Amino acid sequence: MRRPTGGPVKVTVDGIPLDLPAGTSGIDAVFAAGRDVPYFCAHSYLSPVGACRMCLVEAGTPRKGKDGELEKDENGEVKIFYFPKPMASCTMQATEGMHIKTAATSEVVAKSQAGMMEFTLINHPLDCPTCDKGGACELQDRAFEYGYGASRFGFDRRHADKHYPLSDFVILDQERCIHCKRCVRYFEEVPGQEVLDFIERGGHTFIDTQEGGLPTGFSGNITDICPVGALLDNVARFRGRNWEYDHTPTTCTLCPVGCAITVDARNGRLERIVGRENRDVNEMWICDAGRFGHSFASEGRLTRPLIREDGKLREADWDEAMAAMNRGLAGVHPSHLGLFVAADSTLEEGVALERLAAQLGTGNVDHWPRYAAQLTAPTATLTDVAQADAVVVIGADLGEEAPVVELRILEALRGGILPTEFDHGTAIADLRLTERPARTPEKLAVIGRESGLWRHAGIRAASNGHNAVARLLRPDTDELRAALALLEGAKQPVVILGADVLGSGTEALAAQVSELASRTGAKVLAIPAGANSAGLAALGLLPRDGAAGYAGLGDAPAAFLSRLDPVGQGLGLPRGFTVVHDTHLTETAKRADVVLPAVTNYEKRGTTVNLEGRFLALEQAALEAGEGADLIRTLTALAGALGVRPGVRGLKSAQAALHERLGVRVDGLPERGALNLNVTRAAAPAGVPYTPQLWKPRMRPVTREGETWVERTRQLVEEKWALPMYVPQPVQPGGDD
Amino acid sequence: MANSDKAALYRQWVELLGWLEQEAAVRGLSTEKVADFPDYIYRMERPYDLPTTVMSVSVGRGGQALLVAAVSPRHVDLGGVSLRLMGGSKHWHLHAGEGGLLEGKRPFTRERLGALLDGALQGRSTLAV
Ligand code: SF4
Ligand code: SF4
Ligand code: FES
Repeated sequence: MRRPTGGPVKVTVDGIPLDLPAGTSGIDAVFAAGRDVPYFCAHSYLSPVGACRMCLVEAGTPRKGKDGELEKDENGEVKIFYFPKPMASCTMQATEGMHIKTAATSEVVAKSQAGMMEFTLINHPLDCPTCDKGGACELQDRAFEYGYGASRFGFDRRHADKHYPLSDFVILDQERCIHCKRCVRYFEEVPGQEVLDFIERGGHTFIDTQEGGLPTGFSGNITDICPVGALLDNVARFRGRNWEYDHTPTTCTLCPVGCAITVDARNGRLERIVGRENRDVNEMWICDAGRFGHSFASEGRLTRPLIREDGKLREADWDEAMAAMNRGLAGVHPSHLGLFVAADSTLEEGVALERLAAQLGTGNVDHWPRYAAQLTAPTATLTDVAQADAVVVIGADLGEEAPVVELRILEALRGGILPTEFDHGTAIADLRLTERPARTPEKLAVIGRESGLWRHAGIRAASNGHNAVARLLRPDTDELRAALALLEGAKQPVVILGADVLGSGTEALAAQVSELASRTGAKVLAIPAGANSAGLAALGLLPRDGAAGYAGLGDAPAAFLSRLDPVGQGLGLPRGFTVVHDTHLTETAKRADVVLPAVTNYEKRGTTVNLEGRFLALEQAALEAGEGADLIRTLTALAGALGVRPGVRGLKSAQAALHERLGVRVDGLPERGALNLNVTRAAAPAGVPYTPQLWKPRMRPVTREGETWVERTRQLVEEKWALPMYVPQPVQPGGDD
Repeated sequence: MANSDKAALYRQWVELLGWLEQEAAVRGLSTEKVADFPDYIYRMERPYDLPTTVMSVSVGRGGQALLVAAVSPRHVDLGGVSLRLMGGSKHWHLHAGEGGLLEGKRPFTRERLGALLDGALQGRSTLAV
C-alpha cells in the first residue's frame, strides 16, 4: 500500500480514535473510522473542491492557551473548539487532535445533510423512471439515505435542454446536472482538455461545450463519474436498467494496456462497458474505444460452423466441420500445417496452441501483430510512467497504440500524485490534487510524428522512427540534444517506444535501447503490437526451424487461422486447405474451406499479459455466442480431426501447462494482476508490417434504425395537440392509489 | 392561480408553441420537444385536462438549443411560461393575461417573439466559434 510519508495524526471520529497519515482529508478520516458521509463532488482521482456541500460534518480542534498547553475544560479534559459552522469534510484537512462528528452523532450534521439534499433535489427533473442512471444513481441513493423523503418546494423547476448529444457517444441532460463539476474538472485535470464548462450562473447554470462537441479519446469517463444521469453513454442508451445487467469484471484487450472494465450484458447482448478501478493500470479511466467500441460483440456474429460444399459455404455442426477438416487435411503432413492466431489470444489459448504444435511437429506457429525486436532494458511500469521526472516518447501514437499510457504521462506532468490508499480504498479526497493543476511540459519530449501528445510536450522532435533511438544516442539537432539531456538529468526517467521504432526495428535496435537505458538510467516501456503479444512472446509462439510464420502464409500447404483476416489485410490466403476460426465472417473466412465460430475476449476466461508485464485475468461475460468456442476447444476439435489427442484440453489443464512452462500461477490472480518482469519474451522477424489502429472498422457503434428520441412539435401541431391517450373519466370514488 | 387563469395559461402556451414552430421555421431553425409534463407521464389513471402534454420545447440550430421555452406543470405555485436564451443569461417570465401572455404588464405578441429569435440569431452569429 502506498501511503504518504509524514507522521501520523491522531483524529477522533464519532468518538473512535484513529491514527491517520498527515494530510488526510476529513472525509477520508470518516471513512477510515468506518463511518459514512454522503458526497457528490469529491472523486478519488480529481481535485476536491467543496462544491456540493453534501459532506458536511461538525469538526473541532484543541487549542493552545497562553501557557502553550492545550486548553482543558472544567473536568480537566482537553477542550475541543468546534468550528462555528458545519465543515465540508472533503476540503478540510484532518489535523492533530481533531474531533469530527458525522450524522450518526450530530443532529446538526444530520439536519445539514438533509437540508443540502433538499436543495439538490429542488431543481431536479422528475426523470428517475426514464433515466438510464436510475438504480445506480448517487443522488437517488443519498436522497434515500440522508434526505427527509418529502418535498416542501411548490414552485416550478429549472427548465433547460435535455437529451442533447455532446458527441456520438455522450448524451447530456442539462436539467439533471447538479453542478458538481466533476466532468469539468475531469477534462481539465486528466486528459488536459478544456472542452466542457459551466455556462451562466446561479440557478441557470448549465453544462455545455463551445467546441461543438466532445473530442473522442477519453470522453466516456465522464459518463462513469457523473453522479447523476446528466451525462450518459449514448451507445448503451435505453438498453437496460442497471440492476438488469449481468456485471462481469474483466480486462479490456483492445490494446496492450489491459484496463480494468466491467462488461454489462443483458439477454446475451453486450450492452455497456464501464471503467473499473485498477490503481496500478488505468486507475479509473478507460479510453473511448474500450468503452464504446463493443458493438461487434453482439452484431453480426458467426454462431455456427460453416463448411465448403460445391464451392459454397454452408452451415454445419461441429461434427461435420471436424469431418471436413479430417478430409481436407488428409493429404497434408501435420508438420506442414501453419497455425496462426491473433495477438490478443489468452495465455491459456497460447499454451494450448504451443502444445498442439509440438505434438504435430510443426514449427510454423505465429501470432500477429507483433514486432521483431527483443529488448532487454529494464521495463517501466505504468506507475513508473506516472511518477517519472522525465518521459521521452519515441515513435509512438499513443492514441492508436495504448491510450491510457497518455493519461499516465499527463499524470506525471502534473506532479505524479497518486491518491493515497486506505483500508476503505483509494482516498475519496486527496488534498494534494488541485484544480487547474500546474503542469510541467518540460518533463516530456516527443520524438516522431505529430500525435495527440505532441501539444503537451515541452520538447518536440520530428523524426521517422527507424533510426530515432540511434539519433537520440548521438543527437544531431537541438531538440534531440534537449531530449537526451532531459533523460540524463532525471532521477527516474522513462523512455516509451512505439510502433514506428519497434515496427522497423533493426537488429541493432535492442543494443541501442540498452545503451540508452544504461547511459541514462531510464526504464523502457515498449508498447507491444497486440494486446497479449507480450504473453504470447513469453510462450515463444513464433515460427521455428526456418518456418516462414504469418508473413509466409501464402506458401503454407494448409493453415489454421484464429481471428486473423489476412485477405482483408491484403496478405492473401494460404495456398492449401484453410480453416478459419473467427467471430465474424471476414474476407478470409468467406474464402476458407472450414469456418469455425469463435468467441470474443469478452466471453473468455483466461489471462493476458499487458505492456508492463502484468498478468491480468479475463472473466466470461454472459453473451450469446451460439456454438462459438474459444481457441482451446477449437484446437481440441482440430486435433481430433487430425487424430491427435491434445495435451491441453481445457482451462484447468492450460493453467497447469502455463505453470510448468512459465513458472507463473494464473489461476486466482489478484484483482490488480501480478507483475512479472522475469518472463523472457522470445522474438523472431515479423515480416508483416503493422500500423496500429485502435478503432477497428467493426467496432463502430451501430446506429439502430428507427430509433429517434426527438419528437417534432410539428407533428403535435398537425395532430391539433390531441392527447394520444386522453379519455375523460369520472374521478374514482375513494381516490386512486 | 385561479383555475380560470390556469386554463388561460395553457391555452396561451399552446398558442405560443404554434408561433414558436412557425417563427423558427421562417428563420431556418428547428423546433424540438424537450419534455412532456411529468404530471402527464406519471399520472396513471388520474384525470388529465390540459390541452397539451408538452412542457418544454427548444428552438435550435445544428442540434444546439438557442432558446428553451417551458411552462410550469399544473400543480405548481406561481406558474407561468419561461423563455431562456441558452448561454445568453437572458430569461423572460410570462404569465397568463386576459388577451394573451403578458411580459409583466406588456403583452407578449408574436412580433415580440420574432424579435427575441432575431436577437438570439444575432447573438449567435457574433459569437466567436
Ligand atoms: S454533468 Fe454530471 S458530472 Fe458534470 S457537473 Fe453536472 S452532475 Fe456533475
Ligand atoms: S486503453 Fe487499451 S486496454 Fe484501456 S480501455 Fe482503451 S483499448 Fe482498452
Ligand atoms: S462538498 Fe461535495 S463532497 Fe464535499
